[in-house]
Amino acid sequence: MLNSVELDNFGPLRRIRWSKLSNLNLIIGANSSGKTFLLKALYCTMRTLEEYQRGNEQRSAAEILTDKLYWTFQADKIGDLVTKSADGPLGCKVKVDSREFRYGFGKDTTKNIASLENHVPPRGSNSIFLPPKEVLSLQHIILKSRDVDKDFGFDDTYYDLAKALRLLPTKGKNHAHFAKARESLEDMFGGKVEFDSSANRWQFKKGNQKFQIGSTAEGIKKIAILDTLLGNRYLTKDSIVFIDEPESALHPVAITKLIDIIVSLADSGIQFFIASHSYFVVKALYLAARRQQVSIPVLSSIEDQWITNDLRAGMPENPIIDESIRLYEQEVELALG
Amino acid sequence: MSIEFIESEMRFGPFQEENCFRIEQSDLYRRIQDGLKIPEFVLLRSQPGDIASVWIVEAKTSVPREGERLNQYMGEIREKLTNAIQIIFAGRLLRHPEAIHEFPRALQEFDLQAAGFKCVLVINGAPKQYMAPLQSALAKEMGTIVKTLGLDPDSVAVINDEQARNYRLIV
Repeated sequence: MLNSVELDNFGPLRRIRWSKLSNLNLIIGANSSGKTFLLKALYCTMRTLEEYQRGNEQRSAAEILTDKLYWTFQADKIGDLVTKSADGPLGCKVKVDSREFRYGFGKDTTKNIASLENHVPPRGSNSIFLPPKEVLSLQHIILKSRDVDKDFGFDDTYYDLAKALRLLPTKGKNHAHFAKARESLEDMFGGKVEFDSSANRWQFKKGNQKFQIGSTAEGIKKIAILDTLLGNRYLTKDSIVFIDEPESALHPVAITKLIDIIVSLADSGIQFFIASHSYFVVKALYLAARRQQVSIPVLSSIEDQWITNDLRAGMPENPIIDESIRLYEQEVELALG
Repeated sequence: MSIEFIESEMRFGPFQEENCFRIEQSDLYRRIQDGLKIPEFVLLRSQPGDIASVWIVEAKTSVPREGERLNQYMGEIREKLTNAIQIIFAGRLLRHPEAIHEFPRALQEFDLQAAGFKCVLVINGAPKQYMAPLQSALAKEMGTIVKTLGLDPDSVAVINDEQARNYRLIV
């Protein structure tokens, strides 16, 4: 698991120090505060460690990381990721399974990452990034755009996900927690999304009825992605799942159910990093932390500063919470003012 | 004469005596009290030239305790506030003979047709971040009485002691 993160001059992230990470970790902040950027930075870092020395992979860790950063952030050169106004280089230091991995580079870097030190042994697990939008209905387009056309547009988070979804479900008994989670995910919408290999397309099956993926609700497709990745065993107990805005396209009741499933998967070993600006997500995770007395570290962006708290200790001070209080105060003022 | 009194460890007031009706201390209530839950007091507030508003206030020492169901907690508050509204209407219609002597002057004279009603739950020491969902829960619970009596949709408020002080309910 990812134990700690230190970032310096990483795009909009001037300085982040986040330690004592748990299997459930939350990042909250307003639009453009850098939540997604942080998730992508961590995703690139983890994928580098996972791809390094896998199978017949010949690239060095620095080469893998360069490719990952280039295709994820899609900047002209990776040196453009260094904070514009910064005097120093970009720096990233993480601890994974209590071993250190660090790298750094300056603004002029095009391809060669000068400084990289890796003490993390090769990992067999796969991490994944789940973006706010579903990708099932775009899967062919994403794969063509990247495999054939080699175009910028769909970044590596989309491309990797589209590839991961291509894996066929594995037969045999799945991990009990995963099987239970899949049941709960499928119960949420009373059906399941499956790939029809004869028609070469996804479809939503509900009872005896089949629906084209294009006419299936966005929320169902989002849930189906997690279901599929558990079913085809792309995700295993050591995987890290980065979820950007799980609330997007989901009803508050579905958000709560999804968080319950995520909490149960975290209990079985998968590590989650969730970026959100939803009151419902924060509240549901807070309740889980309190009810189960588990640590849920939270990193909040407040006025250009990143503050760390733990949901087990209470709801953090944050503009999301403040806004709910502000609306409440307006309501009271309307009633009593 | 102004009055002050303590409820749920908060000192309410000062209110002009002719504007405040402490239901529990009335003969009317003593006669009908069996099985009847009521809030702490009713307060008439008005500025010269303005339409009066009737504040029905219930006080609590705490938010729902762990394990206590929110709908039970709010159901009891709704019952108390609703009973008070009905006592006021019935008293003004002279269905209770005591009302004509016991209702303070302002409560006997306010314009029943035009007056606004404010159903207020004051929770002593409740943190602000707990209040928004409690406000939504009580507003939902009071929905029926708000509709049937034609009250304003924003007639319900859940506030803490700090807010109650700002609204001059407690000292």
